[in-house]
Formats: sequence, C-alpha cells, structure tokens
Amino acid sequence: MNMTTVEVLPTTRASGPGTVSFTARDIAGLNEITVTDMPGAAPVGDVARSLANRLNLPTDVPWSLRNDRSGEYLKDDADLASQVPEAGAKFTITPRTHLG
Amino acid sequence: MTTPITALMRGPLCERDAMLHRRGFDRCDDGWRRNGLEFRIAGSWLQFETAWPDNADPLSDHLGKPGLWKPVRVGHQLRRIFTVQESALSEGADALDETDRSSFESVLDWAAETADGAAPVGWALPERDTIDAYLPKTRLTIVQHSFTRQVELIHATGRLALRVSLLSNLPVELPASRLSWLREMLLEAQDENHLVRLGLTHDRGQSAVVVEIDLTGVPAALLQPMLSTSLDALRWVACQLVESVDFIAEAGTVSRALEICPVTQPNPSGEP
Repeated sequence: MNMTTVEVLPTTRASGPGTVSFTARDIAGLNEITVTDMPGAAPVGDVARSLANRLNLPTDVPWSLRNDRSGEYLKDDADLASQVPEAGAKFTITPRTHLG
Repeated sequence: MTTPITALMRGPLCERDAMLHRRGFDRCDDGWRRNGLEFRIAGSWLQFETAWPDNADPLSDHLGKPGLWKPVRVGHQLRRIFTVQESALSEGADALDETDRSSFESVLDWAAETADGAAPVGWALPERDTIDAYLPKTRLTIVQHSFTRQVELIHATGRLALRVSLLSNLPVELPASRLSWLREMLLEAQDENHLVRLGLTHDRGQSAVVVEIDLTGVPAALLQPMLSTSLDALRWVACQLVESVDFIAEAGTVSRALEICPVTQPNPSGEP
C-alpha cells in the first residue's frame, strides 16, 4: 500500500498589518504551507501564482484557489482580503481548468 | 542642412542657467550653489544636494519626509540628494500652459521647499481618481517567485507616497551580525538606485523593512511621469531585494558567512 505524507513547509514569520493568514495545500495534499504574510490587497490570481512557486508547482500554468470550507473558487481578479472572511482559512491550490 | 544637437540644447540650457541665476544660485565647480543647496546635472538626472544631518540614521530618519530627498553615501560621508529624471520635464512640459512655471522651475521649487522637511505651502494633493488613472491596479502587486508584495499608495493631507513593505515583521531576536548585513544591503541599494528610500520602520513593537518614494509636493505637470517612473523604480528594487531580505531575516537560515559582520563599502562615485 502506498502511503502519502503531508510535508509541512516552513512556516513564515508573524504577520504584519494589512496581511492575511491562511493555510494552503496542493491538490494532491502532499505539501501544506501556513502563510502569514500575504498582502490582503493582492489579487487572488497573483497570490495563487506565488503560492505555486512556494509549493514547487509548475509556474507556467494558471492556478486558482479553492476555499476548503465552502468549496468555492476565489475570484482571481478580486483582492484576497475581501474573500477571506474567516481566520484560519484553508485553501487548495488547483490548476485553473474549471473555467473552461 | 541639419541643426547641430548642441545648438538645439543651447536654448533650454541658457534658460535654465538664467533661471538659476535669477533664483540666487552661483556657479561652482560642476554646477550651481545657493547657500547649502547645490544643483548639477548627473547624467540624465537633475540632482539637488544638501548636507545630511550629523548623527541621523540613513535607514530611518528620512522615511516619511516630504519630497524625493534621500541620503546617499559619498565616499565615507553621507549627503542628501533629490533627483528627477530630465526626461520627466519634457513629458511634463506638455501639460503646462502659458501661465505656468517652466518644468525646471517647478522642480527647483519642489526641491528647495521640501529641503527643510515640510510639504510645500499651498501644494494641492492630487485627486485620488487622477492618481488611480495613472497607476494601473495590476502593477501594484509584485510577484517575485514565491513572494507577493503590494505597493501601498499613501494619499493623505499633505502626503503623497508609494511604499512597499519588503518584510512586515523583522524578528526582534535577529542577531546583530544579521542586522548589520541587512543594513548594509539596504544602504547599498539606496546608494545605487535613484528615487527610492530604503529603511526600517518601527511601530507598536514591530519593525518592518520598507522601500518608499515620496512625491509630496510634486508639481501637477509632473504627476503622471513621476508616478509612472516611481512605480517602475519601486517594483525594480522590491524584486531585487525581497528574497535577500527574507533570507537574511529568516531565523532558520544557517550561514557561516552571515555570522561575520559586513565591511562597509564606501560609494566612490557618490551617485545613485
């Protein structure tokens, strides 16, 4: 039986003003990262791009963020803070194929 | 028959010299001087210069001050400079009408009036809608590999600036040698890059590493070219530094080189 392990990447430092904290993982659940320093005003599309880099995912494909709690995809062009209402949000970073 | 370039430039140069003379500047070795304020052409930049106060910290005491003034190391001493790209003047000239001051005159006033650390009297803060039209929202977010940073627009009474927080919370337990490396890197970047100020802010027990350009007092005719140039400069410097700043400030980073205090290198040319 194959075992999969979740690799928890190094946690970033404590957050500053105007930043958003959340946990993100790749779609296979192999890597998970706690982010505490993401600018809340950054568009979700840019956030997903940098997270893909941080999680060592290919950067030549577009990525989206899905809220694990609600199952909804975040809007790429809207700012992150407006779409993260709860503390301790958890996202899954997925290839942007659902938009057709 | 073609007109020599020197002949085409003579007109504006004569006007500039006449303007400086009328404003009480005297010729000196490589430029003009009035009391403690110097002016010279540095490549494609107009450069104003004054003394940097003794004992002032070049990584904190200049932050938040109005205008483009910033410290630069000249040899082993610090000078305070204010630079504007000459091409911005020609772009701004299109927005002038007959009653306005010339672009150079408005820059001269901007530098002189902010040299004392105060916003120019009577300066009107540009409308937010106007600024937003000149700053594409998509360019306010900086993504450099795994790092995301946001350009913050400071638009308040008597203050107009762009600022990026490279690191929002510098660890308080950062060893002295690491802090020395960080300071040296920021000073070097501040020396080498026009317009940008770098430094450390302290607020409610948190220290942050920031890069900013303060446009308080910018003449209305130069608003568009200065905003555009400033955003480019901020993005460039942020992309250059964000990973290194994070590396130095990361407690988990193990590096024997970082345990050794850096040797301060003087800036031989004295130009950014």
